[in-house]
Amino acid sequence: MSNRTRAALIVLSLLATLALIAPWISPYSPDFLDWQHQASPPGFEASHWLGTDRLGRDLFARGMQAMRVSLLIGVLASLVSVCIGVLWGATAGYLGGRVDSLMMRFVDIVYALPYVFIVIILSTLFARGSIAALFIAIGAVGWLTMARIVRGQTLSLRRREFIDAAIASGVRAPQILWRHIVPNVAGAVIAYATLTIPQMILFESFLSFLGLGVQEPFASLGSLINEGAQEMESSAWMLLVPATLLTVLLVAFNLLGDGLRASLESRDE
Amino acid sequence: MLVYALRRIAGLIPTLFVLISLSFFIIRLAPGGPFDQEQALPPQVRANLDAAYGLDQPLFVQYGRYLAGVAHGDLGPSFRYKDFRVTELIASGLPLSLTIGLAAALLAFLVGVPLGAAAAWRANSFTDHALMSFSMIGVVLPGFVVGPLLALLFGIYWPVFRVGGYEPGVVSFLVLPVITLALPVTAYVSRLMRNSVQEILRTNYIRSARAKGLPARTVFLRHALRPALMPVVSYLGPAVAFVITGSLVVESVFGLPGSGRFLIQGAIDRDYPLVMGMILVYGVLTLVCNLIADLLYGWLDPRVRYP
Amino acid sequence: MNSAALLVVDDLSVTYGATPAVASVSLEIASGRCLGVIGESGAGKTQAFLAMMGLLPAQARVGGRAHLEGVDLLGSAAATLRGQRIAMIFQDPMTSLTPHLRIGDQIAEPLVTHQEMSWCDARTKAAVLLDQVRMSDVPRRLRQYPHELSGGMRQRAMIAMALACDPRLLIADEPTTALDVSVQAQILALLRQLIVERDMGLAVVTHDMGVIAALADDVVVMRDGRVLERGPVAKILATPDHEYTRSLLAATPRVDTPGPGIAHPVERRAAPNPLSVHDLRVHHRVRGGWLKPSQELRAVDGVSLELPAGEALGIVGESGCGKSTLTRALLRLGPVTGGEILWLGRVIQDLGGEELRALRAGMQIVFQDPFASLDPTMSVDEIVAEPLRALRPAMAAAGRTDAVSRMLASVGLGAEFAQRRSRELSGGQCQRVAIARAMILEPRLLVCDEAVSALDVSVQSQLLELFESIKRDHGTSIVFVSHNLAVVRRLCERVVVMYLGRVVEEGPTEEVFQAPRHPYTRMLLESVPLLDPTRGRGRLATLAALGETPSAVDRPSGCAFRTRCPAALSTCAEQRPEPEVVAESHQVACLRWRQIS
Repeated sequence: MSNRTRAALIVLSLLATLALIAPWISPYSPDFLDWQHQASPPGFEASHWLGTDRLGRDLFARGMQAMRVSLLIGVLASLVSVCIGVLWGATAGYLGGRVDSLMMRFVDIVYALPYVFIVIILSTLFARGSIAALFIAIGAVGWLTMARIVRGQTLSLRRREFIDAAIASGVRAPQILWRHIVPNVAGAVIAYATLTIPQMILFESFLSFLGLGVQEPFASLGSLINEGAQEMESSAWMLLVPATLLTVLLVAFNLLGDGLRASLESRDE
Repeated sequence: MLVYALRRIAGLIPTLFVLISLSFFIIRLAPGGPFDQEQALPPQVRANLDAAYGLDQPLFVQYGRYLAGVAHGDLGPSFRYKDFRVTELIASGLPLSLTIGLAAALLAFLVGVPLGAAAAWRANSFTDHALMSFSMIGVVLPGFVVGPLLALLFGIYWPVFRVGGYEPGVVSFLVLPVITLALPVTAYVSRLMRNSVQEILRTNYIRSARAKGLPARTVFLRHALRPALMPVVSYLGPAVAFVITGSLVVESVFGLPGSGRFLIQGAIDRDYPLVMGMILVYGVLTLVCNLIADLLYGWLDPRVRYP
Repeated sequence: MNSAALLVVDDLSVTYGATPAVASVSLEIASGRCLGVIGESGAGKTQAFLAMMGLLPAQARVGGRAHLEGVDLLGSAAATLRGQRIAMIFQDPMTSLTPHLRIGDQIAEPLVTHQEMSWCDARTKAAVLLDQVRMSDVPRRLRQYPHELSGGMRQRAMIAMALACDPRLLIADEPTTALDVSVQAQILALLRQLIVERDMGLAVVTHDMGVIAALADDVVVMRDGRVLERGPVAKILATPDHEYTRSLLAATPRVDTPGPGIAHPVERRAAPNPLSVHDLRVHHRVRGGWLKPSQELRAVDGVSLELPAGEALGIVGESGCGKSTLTRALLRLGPVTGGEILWLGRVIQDLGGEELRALRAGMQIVFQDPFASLDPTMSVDEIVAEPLRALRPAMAAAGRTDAVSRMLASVGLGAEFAQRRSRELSGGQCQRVAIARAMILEPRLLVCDEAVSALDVSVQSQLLELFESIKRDHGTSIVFVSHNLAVVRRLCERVVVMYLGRVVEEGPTEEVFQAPRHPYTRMLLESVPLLDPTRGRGRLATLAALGETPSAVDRPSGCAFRTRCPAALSTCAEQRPEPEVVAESHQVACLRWRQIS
């Protein structure tokens, strides 16, 4: 594991831990409206370490809550998209032929369309702020790349002689999938799953920014950025705090995923 | 080559058809209609409105009428903006959106490709690491973070460019939006190009080209560049899709009167014809760009043209 | 030092960090002569020549001296020599030609760059060069892309490209390894002629003694980056000094030396043959696309064969003959379109599901690529135990472990190998694991699909002994598929020769090899380089091998071989030849075999 990857892992662990223990170390709760310190900049007096927003809510507490929400949605949505993607890709790759063509054609069409369409269409189907809509929208897009990767890996695996050898040894098809294909694909899946998480977080932030994601009183990093952008000229920290948190989170996840993918590729050679 | 092109074009039409049909039926399935937002209307008024807009007809009839209209270039009336037809609405904002989108896409590829190639050429040097770190951040930062930040920096603290709204003909308003839009695509393209070039430089045919005693520049430009561009060209389609999505954010953040707001607003207002008109227009754009990407790919790779 | 020497290399070394790839190598080549450099994989032979060409990666450290006509190849002036005075061709023509440039342009390119010709003139010269390398249909080839050419044509194009600026020295790195035997013979003959015509020096790097015998005037033997022995080819091949050279020669199978005799005829006929195939057909549909209709590819087009117990049947043929498709069909790993397969008296070509699974214990397969045959995530003992788990579920774990260690011992792998994974093993060791896995169920039939082709000669020889002991001690029948006729002669009692999906000749190995009846068999046998340089050179000069195997989709009508057959008449295009009896259990499918003999 390279140094960069290790650093990314450490940063992520720190941030996640911080987000989890924030309710115990922060003197304020995210909903508390501090009338005396509305829209105040970061400082140590009054313990508003990262400042407050327009309504006087502590930005550290809110930021940590937002990060919890973003992480939760990111990891869960990733999990869902990984499951769908792996099933779809492995089936298409193993069965091959026309089933494969059909399944991947579907992936190609959805992949080529701007995912905004799906979001918009879905947002008209559900009431605003519906978590179900959020999950479906994110899940609808996230599994595509995973399906492609798993299908590619499965296809190349299937051509390798050890699969034929297993068939010749009398191993049944489900056993082959479980004992031979899955372990050989697992490496790639883990590497790309780690890269999917930041995509999911980004996507959710994007939705929140448009007003289609997490609703008040909950906050996600995206909605915080939206609020911050509106107050940008007078209170820059309201934008900078969530923006920095989001950036660090995304960069760390991407570095980790990249590192895993690089070590995967060097192992295959 | 011609056969290949025709085949690709023919493949467009079913996809477009599926897109229109899907969006038509799904939007119609949504709870709530265009007139539910206002106060509850008396039933007769409601019935009249429905009849006037053809909403009392069976679904398939509405579908047929819509398709007929599309064939004539008429995308129907807007339910929300009562005096306007959808075509007029979209046309009012589309030129601006297209300008920004095209400029961003062009910028992304014109900057990203040389950057990636340079990074690969000097692999593992300081330049390489610097470029790849920059691109990593560029890929990760969303438009709604970068946009406000850039506006803050270059529009307010150091007012180099103008932000907020648009005056026709004043390019300064467009610089920051285009850069915001182009940034993630540039970053991704440069990484893609770098990895691609590195892989190509390891192939046997580059070794043969070197064995012929050709100068390094010739080896790169004539032998390595075209195959290295293939993954980048494949990315063209999704890149355009991304730019379309991004333009919504950018127009919103910078207050530009493009056509993106009609999509979001139309969804919120349940203005069916408007939403579908937008999806149709942008869908055609996406598919045309995919087609161009496919044709470019065919030109790059003779194995596709002469199987 | 010979004053007429073209290339003089003195104490050359190539080091990567602390590891030397080449250590203290010295050699000389004179113009008009060919130096053969022989060694197994990892000997450092390619590295040495890449150093002379200046094609090594940046982290390589090169020491010593190398001069071409007095100019230092390792210095800064070397760049002016590359591609002009000294040229190199590589092993795999498919990946060594730029895929998006036309052949003509790739050949013209060095002329434009080094001799400042115009593109027009350069393309004209390219046509002349393609003529000199005996390329067919030159005007068409100039405008084609590499993927439209066959393997032999691509190698000819590579040679033309290397010769463009009239180099004084040509280095050929495994030039024929990826080619069919008959095409290899043509390329070797071509290289021989070119040295003479152009008074050029040639360095051939190879692991194949046959290529050395066919081309080289002088030989250098390398191992682990060092030169072990050098001398004229006749001496090295007949009376080498170094024991490594002797062991290499001993391990190399000969196509002109008799192999095992036929087993006792009476014993053979007593029991019915375990494997019996009648008119087996495997046809694929090739999708046409929009304007082309879909075509039928007859990979296996009516093959019949018999395999007696305890004998090895060799199946030989070049690429496209269908032998791999045949082996997969036999084991029901691939599709069967028609015909009959009888295994131990049962009809199996239509069997499926559990019935088929139950029979699998009796028939096993060993593949060509040793690393791809083993699951990289499993340890050796898990791999060998898998067939037991699948087909002998009642067996206790202790019994399994026991069986696995006994099996590993019998293929020559000690207990320390049990926990290793495929990436920790060499090619030969992987193949032994594959054999252990195949044999653990004590099958009556073992199919070997080019099982030793990817291995070094010394390892190959050991594995062939292993196969012989399997045949002898277990009474297992072996179907041995190979393009290497010498190996087949060593191991197999009977041989079947295939061409484009059909059997053209079959019979006892000795008979077929000593007196081949079919023109294709004859062509194959004449193409194999002999280890006796005087006889070998003479054969090359009068080579009867013509052209290359046509694509299976455009199969010629009537007799599929007629497009390359020196004895073909118009009747050969009209009628498909059926097998005719030549002698006891020896058949040939040729309309004119009586006249040709």
